[in-house]
Amino acid sequence: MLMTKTNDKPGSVGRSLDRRDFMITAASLGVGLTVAGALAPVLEARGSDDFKSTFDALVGNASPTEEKIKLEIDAYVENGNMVFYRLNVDHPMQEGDYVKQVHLLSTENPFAHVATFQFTPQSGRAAVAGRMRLAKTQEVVALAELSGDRLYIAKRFVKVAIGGCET
Amino acid sequence: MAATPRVKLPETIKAGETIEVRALVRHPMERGHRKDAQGRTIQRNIIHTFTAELDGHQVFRAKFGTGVAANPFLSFYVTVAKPGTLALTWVDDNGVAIQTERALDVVA
Repeated sequence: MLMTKTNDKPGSVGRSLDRRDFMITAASLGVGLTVAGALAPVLEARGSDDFKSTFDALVGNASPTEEKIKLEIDAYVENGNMVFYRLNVDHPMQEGDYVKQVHLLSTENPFAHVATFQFTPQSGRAAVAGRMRLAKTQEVVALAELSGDRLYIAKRFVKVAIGGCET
Repeated sequence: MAATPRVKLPETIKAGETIEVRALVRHPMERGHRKDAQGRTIQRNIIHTFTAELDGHQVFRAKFGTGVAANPFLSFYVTVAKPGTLALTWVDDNGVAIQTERALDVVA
């Protein structure tokens, strides 16, 4: 149907029909993409290549759930050289059932891996606070690994006024 | 060069209590892609590992990348069952280890 219109002389009617067909095609294609997007994993890695490869290496084929972790960072920071973060995983710390480690990742820093915190049942709480560098405005990701290979994720978007990594 | 770390603990600790440990150490956390005044790249030197041991038994460990800010501050938790010694160690790329110990007194 679209092909039959392409040989038309560039008249107003022909053009508008072309455009109309194009819009219809684009719309149906758009719908198709939306459906495909909905079927893809919800928490796909988005960010720098280093972030993607770091994230994929940690997660593998698993699909982390977005719960249990509370990641606190100011939504807007002036100085990317010193960004305060606090994270807490709401899970008991008992022998055989505890938070083994939490990875803190930046999605747009030159090096995605910021820190990994390894806990033990003697930690009592899987909670840490510290200061990180953010090169620019980006999302920060915390990935918690519980015993039994259960994965949880938390994300926080941080707007950075002056980047802290490239200087 | 290695400055004495600053460690903050609760004033009193009850047996079985989970306490917050706040530790700060002075370190440039040099990322390895900055240039000096002569334009030469300053070699990477960051603290890559931090460990906390309670009576010789590791209770917490952190691995740092270049994304950790200079003069790394860290807050974490430890459950203290009985009086003991908390040993904290920071190790950087040059192999320099900064260590400190704190006695944990437990009130009944």
